[in-house]
Formats: sequence, C-alpha cells, structure tokens
Amino acid sequence: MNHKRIYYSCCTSLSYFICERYYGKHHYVWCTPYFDASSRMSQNNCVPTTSNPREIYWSLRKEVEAGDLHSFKIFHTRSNILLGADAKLKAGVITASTHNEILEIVMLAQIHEFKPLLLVIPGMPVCRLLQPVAVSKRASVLSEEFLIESLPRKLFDAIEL
Amino acid sequence: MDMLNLVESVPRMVATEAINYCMRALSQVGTPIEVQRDYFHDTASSRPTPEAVGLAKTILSKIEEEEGIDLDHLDVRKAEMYICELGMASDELILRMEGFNRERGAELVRQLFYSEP
Repeated sequence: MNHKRIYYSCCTSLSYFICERYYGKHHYVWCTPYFDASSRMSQNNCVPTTSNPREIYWSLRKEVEAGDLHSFKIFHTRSNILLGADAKLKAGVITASTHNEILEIVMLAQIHEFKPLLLVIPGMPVCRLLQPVAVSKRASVLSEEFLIESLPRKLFDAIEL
Repeated sequence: MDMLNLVESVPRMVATEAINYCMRALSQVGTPIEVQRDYFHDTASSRPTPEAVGLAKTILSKIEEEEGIDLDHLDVRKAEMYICELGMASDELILRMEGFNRERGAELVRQLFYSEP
C-alpha cells in the first residue's frame, strides 16, 4: 500500500472540457496512488496495466497521434462519456437539451480532441471522496484503485506531458 | 456478429449502458483475474439497471458462442475488434436519435475547445 497521498489519473481533453462546461467543473475520476505502477521505482502493488495512469496516458496519446478515430480505445472512451451523460440526465444534473448537446459533441469530436491529460490529485483534500473500485468476484481485495464521482476542479492539477 | 441487431430493440440508454459493460469486460481480456474490475459496478454503491446487465450478458455469451471459447481465453485482438463493433453499433444508435444535429455538434465542439471562456 502506498501512503504518499498523491493520486494520479488520466482523462481525455474531451471529457475534461465536457465536465468543465456541463457538469459544474466536477469530474468523474478513476485514480491510483501511482503514476507508473509498473515502474521499479514504485512500491509493490496490484494495479493492472489497464489502470496504470502512465500506460493509459501514452497509449491514448499514441492513438491520437496515429489519427485513428475508430480505434478500440477511442470507442471505449466515447462510450464512457456517453454513459456519463446518460447518468447525469437521469440524476437531474443536466437537462434533456444539454444532454443532446453532449451527445452531439461526443459524436462530432475529432481525434485530436481525445488528447490525454494527466490529473494529479493531492490526497488530503479528497480523502473523504475516495471510493474503492469494485473488483471482480474472482479478484483479490488488494486493489489500489479508487473512484471519485464528483471531483471539484480546484482539487487537482491537469497536465499535458 | 451483428451487434446493432442485438442492441437496437431496447431503449437507447439501456443499449449504451449494456455496450459499456461489454466494453469493460472485453478491455480486461488478458488482464490477470486477481486484479480485474467488476465490469457491472464501478463501486459497491453502483446500481446497474437489470435490463442492461441482462443485455450485456447476452452479448458477451454470444461472443463466447461465436468464438467457441470463454471470455478469459479470448485473443486480445479479437476483444479489441468486438469493442470496435460495439462502438459502431453505439454510434449508429446515437445518430438515429430524433433531433440529432451534426452541424450543431460541430459548432459545439468548436466552442468547447476553441472559444475563449
């Protein structure tokens, strides 16, 4: 377990700007206490490659630079944003009209609008917001992945590497 | 496999939710079982809709049937291919929505990224 109390996440510019404009600058963030969980400089941990912020950042950046709007990573990212918009509509956070706008944006966004951003999140201010990510019934309980469902913009830095 | 055929008969939001669960499951192919996320729940308090869970299970079992192999043993490239197929089905459902406006979408993207706040 890492106790340094800094959390890292990766999102796309598209999801970042949608949260900024439409969700009151509150962000839905998956995070881990490692920037690069697989590095020998990190403590032993159980963060899989698919959740490693460094891996997510650079693999997404590679997709964006390759210019492939129909890659599986881009499809998955778009699906996440669509699901988020539906959830915000159901929760009454946005109106039907705003919801339609978001869907149109997601569908019309070009590949460079999926550029990744690294989020750096100081731990202390968010300690009450962190929720452990649910793991598969077959998984161990050693996961160090967390979810922050509504992270205010003022509580993190967003960085382009 | 015709993904669109599998999802177009349910309400669009149910389809989007089910597609997302399938994508989560497929994106974990090749990941060690010990660290896999629950693909129906983000956290213990998540409330996936039963309709979407049912549809996602149907889609995933169709994939297993088509490939003759369980999901854990699916080739990673195949899993990525299915994610793309699901993404294309999802796109089609959104594009079919009443009132969907491409021109407005393009302008909103421009405003979102390139206009001064």
